[in-house]
Amino acid sequence: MTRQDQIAQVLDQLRENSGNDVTGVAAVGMDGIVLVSRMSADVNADRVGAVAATMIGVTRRVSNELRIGMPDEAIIQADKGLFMVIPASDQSLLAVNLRQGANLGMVRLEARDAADKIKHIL
Amino acid sequence: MRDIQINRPTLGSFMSVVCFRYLNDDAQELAGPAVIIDAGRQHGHDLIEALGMMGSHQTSHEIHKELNDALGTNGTRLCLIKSMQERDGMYEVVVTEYPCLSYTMGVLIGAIGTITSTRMHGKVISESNGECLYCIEPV
Repeated sequence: MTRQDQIAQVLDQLRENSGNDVTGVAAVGMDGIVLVSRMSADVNADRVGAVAATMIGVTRRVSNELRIGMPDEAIIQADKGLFMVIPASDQSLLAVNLRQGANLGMVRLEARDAADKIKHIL
Repeated sequence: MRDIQINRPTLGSFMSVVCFRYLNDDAQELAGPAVIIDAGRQHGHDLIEALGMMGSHQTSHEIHKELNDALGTNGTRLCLIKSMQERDGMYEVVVTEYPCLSYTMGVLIGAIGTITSTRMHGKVISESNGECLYCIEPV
């Protein structure tokens, strides 16, 4: 099984464990390049990958300026859903799209677990 | 393909690398390399589309020539591509006179990925004396 297949399995498992709360998920390099995507067809995964990596870059910069340590995650809460980015290692991250009203606490736990698995695969 | 209008009747398409570096360096410092690499990828993709080379699966020799023409002295003057070698889908590209590592790498990723219809990523293997060796390979 290739690394991509293993990552795809982790992403599929995350979606399965989260019921319909997770509407899309992608593993992305810190350079913004998508490793594996399970985003819906109407989403441009390449752009989302670049945005997710940039979000982590900006979040790290803000944390550094404020001297509050390294960020564990970045979450955008919008009126029609949520978007969560979690670093999976120094070189990769997990981008998760959630539906409005999703159980954020549960998805965070599942997403952290998935990020940890991706870290070990890479 | 992005429609970029250049309304500069006197100055034309070119500007100083110094201006580019202020924009690039600050964006990269504030937001990380992804934003610059992505901009380069878009440019590389659009360039190949404009050249009609999408999915053309050309040899590395042909790609080298086309990209050097498009990006070098007679093109946009982004950089000079000194050599390009392909082995098992992995491209080793030596570049000189580049303004920025991340942007140039993004252009190569976008261009080679679009020519080969393969999702690519890249890394800097070495950099010294104004010469950089990139490895562009499938994800």
